[in-house]
Amino acid sequence: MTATSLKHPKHIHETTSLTRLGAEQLTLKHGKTSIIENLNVSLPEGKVTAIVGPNGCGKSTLLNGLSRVHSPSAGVVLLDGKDIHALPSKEVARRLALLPQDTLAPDGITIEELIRFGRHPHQSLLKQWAMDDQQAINYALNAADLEGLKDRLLDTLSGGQRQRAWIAMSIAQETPLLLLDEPTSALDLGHQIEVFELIRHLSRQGKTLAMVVHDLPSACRYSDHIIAMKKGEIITQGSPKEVMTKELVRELYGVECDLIPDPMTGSPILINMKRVRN
Amino acid sequence: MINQSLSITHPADTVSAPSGHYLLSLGRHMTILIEKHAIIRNIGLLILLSCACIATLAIGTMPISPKNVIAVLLGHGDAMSQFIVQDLRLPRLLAALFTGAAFSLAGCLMQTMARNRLATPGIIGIDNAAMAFAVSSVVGMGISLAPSVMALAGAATATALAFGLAGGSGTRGYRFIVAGIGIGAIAGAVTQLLLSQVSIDVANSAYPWTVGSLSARDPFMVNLLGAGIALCLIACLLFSTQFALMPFSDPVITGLGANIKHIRILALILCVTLTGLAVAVAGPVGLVALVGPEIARVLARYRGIPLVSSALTGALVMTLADLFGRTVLSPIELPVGIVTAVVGGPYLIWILVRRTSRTSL
Repeated sequence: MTATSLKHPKHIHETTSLTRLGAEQLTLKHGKTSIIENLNVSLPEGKVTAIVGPNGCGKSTLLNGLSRVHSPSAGVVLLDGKDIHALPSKEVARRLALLPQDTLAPDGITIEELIRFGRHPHQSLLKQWAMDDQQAINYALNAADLEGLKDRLLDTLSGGQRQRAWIAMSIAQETPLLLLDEPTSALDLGHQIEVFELIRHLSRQGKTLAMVVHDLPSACRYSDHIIAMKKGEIITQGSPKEVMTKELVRELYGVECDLIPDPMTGSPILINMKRVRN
Repeated sequence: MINQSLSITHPADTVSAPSGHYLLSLGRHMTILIEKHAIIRNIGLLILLSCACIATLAIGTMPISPKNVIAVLLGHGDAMSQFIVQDLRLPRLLAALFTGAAFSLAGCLMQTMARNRLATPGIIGIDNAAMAFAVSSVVGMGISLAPSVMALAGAATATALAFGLAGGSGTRGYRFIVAGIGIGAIAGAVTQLLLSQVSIDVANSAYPWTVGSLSARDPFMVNLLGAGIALCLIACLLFSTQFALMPFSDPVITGLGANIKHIRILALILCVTLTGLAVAVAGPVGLVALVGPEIARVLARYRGIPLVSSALTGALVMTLADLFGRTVLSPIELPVGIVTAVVGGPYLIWILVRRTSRTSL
């Protein structure tokens, strides 16, 4: 599969010309309300993209649009240059995995069983289990550090372990692309870092990832590319250092702050935050 | 069933089945996973069901020893036993087996699809609508074949209405159930109204449709139901890997490359076919759809979607309920629908009251 480059609108300065997943003139509606209109976006290949913005800015809707969960009212989502809705769903699932916010699993399912479901797009009625399934599951268990927990029931795990199990399921899907919708929103600090480090690890393995994140410092620290959204529009995008400014924080959240570089990593930290009216 | 020609593979450094499964290799590239627990469970249920069948064929006003029953089934036995077993009791037993399996399988599918243990065809109003249509044809035309067709039409109408009234939320959530309850109530009222408007003879001939009974069923419909169940079970097995995804949330299902709409429409078609045919044979005995799948889930330790086990438990419950209704107040016969209601009613209350951490309503 070769990556296809998309035409990018001029006002967006790109870090890379390669992309496998993107959208052109995308309009997404909830009922009759437009959440996103005529949006052009593309995910830089092999990088971690963080989508940030205030509540209701359309970032989750965008992620759902890109992952074909939400069908566009206009425009097109392109996966490897083809309309994602025109491709067979199973084929899309072999290239693109999704970890939604709304993860509901069958009762009484173990970690290993959950991860086995990640193999669904690679299986069929008469090909229910093969060597590659076994290897993918072992790899996923190992990558998410769940080998010791594989026979535990999903309901009995802590929030962080559960989230790791869901990520492991998408790892077992063996897709070059992985989209995550607020993967750390319900987790405590330790578990958040655990999940972000797993995401970085996957990126080093060559995966292209995109995630919706609420926490700006984490977005800066764990991503290569930031897409900042407000009212359904992308107001800026680029590397965290280029993009993250006081002005952006003020515009997005109505918060006045100062930015200082993290003495260890150099990524921006927000201090001295105050709510202001825009 | 594991055939001799299929090999079960367990080598150490090649592919090994995931824990709790048998891996059947059919040729080089074809592999099928079978859950060990399901095999044990279903064989156990089949044995129980066989015992219940022999008991049903043996017990009655004219008792026949189990040995003689088996002899008759194998084509031997005296003429009297042959007549009683084959001509009197066997058709009724088949009707019980088929309707029980159909109601229970439909119940399991619909509960899984709606993610709600209350969502059985009976509660969604499919039974009642099928009954109302059937009664209206008995009352209107007074012939015996049309009610069966009408029952199917009624089942389809109720499902379409419930689905339509549920709007965007589809089969998930309470809207679908509440809409269905309303449709069921209306259909029930229509039935009562029709029965109150006709002469007592016509009302009497329509009566079996309203309580659920297995006596003197139309053999053509019983055979049709048997064929319908066989086809629906085959469909369930063919689509088992997709049905297994139904308990996940919608975005997860889409993310795994399955088409939720197709899965749901297929499950609904199976539910309507099974329920419509079963009501056409026995009338509304819908509580089996609540009890059967629940027993199957307990036996499956609340794991997976026990479709085959549900069909077996449903057949077992119906057979036992009919046997009970036939014998307990003999020579008076209790319609099977009344027996299942007496057993199923308290059971329904019990599942509503009992809420454990594992079983969400």
